[in-house]
Amino acid sequence: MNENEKDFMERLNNLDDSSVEEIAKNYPALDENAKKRILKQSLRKSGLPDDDIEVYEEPEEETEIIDDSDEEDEMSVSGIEQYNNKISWHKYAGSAVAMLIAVVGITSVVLLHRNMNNNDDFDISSPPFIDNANSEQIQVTEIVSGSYIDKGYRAEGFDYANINGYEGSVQYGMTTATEPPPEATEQVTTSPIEITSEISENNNVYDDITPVVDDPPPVTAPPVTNPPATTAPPVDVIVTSVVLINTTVTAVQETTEPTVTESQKTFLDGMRYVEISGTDEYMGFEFRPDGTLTAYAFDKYGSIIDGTVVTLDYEFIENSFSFGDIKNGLNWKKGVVINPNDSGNFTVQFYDNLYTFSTEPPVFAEPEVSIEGVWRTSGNDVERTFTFHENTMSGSYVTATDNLEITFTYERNENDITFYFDTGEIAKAVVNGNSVISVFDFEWSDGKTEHFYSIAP
Amino acid sequence: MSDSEWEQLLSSSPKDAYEYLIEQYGNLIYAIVFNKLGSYGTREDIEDCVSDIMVEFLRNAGNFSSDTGSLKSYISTVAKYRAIDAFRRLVGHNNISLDTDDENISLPPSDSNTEEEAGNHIFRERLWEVVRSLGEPDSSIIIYQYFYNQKVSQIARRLDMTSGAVQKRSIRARKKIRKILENEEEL
Repeated sequence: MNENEKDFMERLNNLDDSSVEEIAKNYPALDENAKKRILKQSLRKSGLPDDDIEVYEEPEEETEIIDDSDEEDEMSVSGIEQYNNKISWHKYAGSAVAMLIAVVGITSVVLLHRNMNNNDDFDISSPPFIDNANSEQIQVTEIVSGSYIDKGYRAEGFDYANINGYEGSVQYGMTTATEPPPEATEQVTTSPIEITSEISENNNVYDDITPVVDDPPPVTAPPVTNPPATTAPPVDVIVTSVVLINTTVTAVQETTEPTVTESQKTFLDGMRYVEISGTDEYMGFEFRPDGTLTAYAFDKYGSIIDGTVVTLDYEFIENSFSFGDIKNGLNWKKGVVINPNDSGNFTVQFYDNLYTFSTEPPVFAEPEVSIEGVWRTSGNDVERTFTFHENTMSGSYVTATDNLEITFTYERNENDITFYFDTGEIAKAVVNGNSVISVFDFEWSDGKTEHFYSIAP
Repeated sequence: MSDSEWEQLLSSSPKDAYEYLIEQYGNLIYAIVFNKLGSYGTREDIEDCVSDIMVEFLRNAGNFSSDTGSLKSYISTVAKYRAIDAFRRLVGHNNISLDTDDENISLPPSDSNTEEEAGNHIFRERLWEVVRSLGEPDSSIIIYQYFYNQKVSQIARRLDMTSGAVQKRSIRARKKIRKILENEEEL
């Protein structure tokens, strides 16, 4: 035996089933605390309450020095290692030089920064992002209309962190910040404008945008030879930036409590299934009388999509409905309530689409079991693995004496499957189950039954 | 509790059904998972996998029928394949390179390594027999130390011994195992 002890003892695994069963029975490893930990984890993963299970947090054990050596072996040594290396002068010198470089660097940055701030000749008409003027202008339009928020909100499955930078821009209650006067939009998009230095100081967008009327392009000159002033595109960009900054600051500063009347609380209390116009998505809104709701998104089978469950505030003032992080001044969507009825159903027209709130669950699609992939069988003494392809199935039987490979065809008609063998034998199976562990009973012509399991990766 | 009673318990109280499963089959599932994952997973990985098995089993309990098989064999099957999946995931995640022996844990046998696999299998079975023949507490020490990867201090607490005694017994037991297996090789 050439292996050292540790290596060969580490091969005490991958034992057969009966040995594992014996170990589990005679050498149980789970103490009460471990069982509680597993129970708590299982309940949590199943969405069941686990608060009443108290798990004792085991203290972190210190790293154990295990003496794997043989006590009769004289190869081991003991003692204290001593290092007498003196630190030489060039190490001190090197440290001093490094510190000096760091100090010079920091000082340079500070001076440069101060110098830039004091530069009165800063040319506001030539920002460095001049080439992006057009795309920035599009972004302004989207943000102001609110559609950007909605895209991020649905596509990211309530990943609200992604829209934190823009949250203030859909503040419907704050029209001064988010809804530009129509004439201002016209000016921005159609005519060259200029911005004076007062713009940034006042931080007021629309008052500071003025059409360039003093120096219009000559009427007779062709556009190619006498193009509009190059200051026009960057002006759009600057307006964009100011809008965003102004709006965001206003939104964060404003803190309000959701407003819902008593009758509205009673009306809303409970679960609503939400159909969103123009999409095939469904959401669930679970309203509570305290002005909060739990929102989540369903997949097409009616299962809640992981990571979409969030708690939000809602506000219901007369016929206006909004939801979001209202307590922190962030209304994500605000719309007009249409046709509320006694059953608690109602519709809200938001700026971009219609939300239909209903107490009745929609008809979700029936889950379909895909049988393509690897299946394993049980219900027989011999374990078998089968791989289903589009219309053929190949499999292997691994027995103590044989390793058989077979391939045969099958036809699937919804959940009924018929297998055709070279021998002329036909077997039938019925699929049921779901996408995690699927199972179907397979009845052979001799009456034997096998159960197939598919274990998702 | 019979399997059909458990089915009834599941429909009336899922939490009690979980407790029963863990109490009844927790050690078996834990051992199955350890048998596959071995030293590749931490205690958290193993317990996470065990709880995954519990959740998955209960979520699909509708597929189980006490008429067609026992609860124990059903859950063992689920545990075994889930443990293999977890092993593959951990190996992939930790970028661990497998030796030929480890590959046999997750991959089906092929013609090229059948002989080697058979040799490993025989060695493991013999090793397990020798460990069992050591007698207590040595068998327990070796199993908890090398099958369950527990620390000497944990084993000492479990067996109500001092760490030093556990360590000395472990060293002697390993020497004994080695000697037995070497003598058999020479024969």
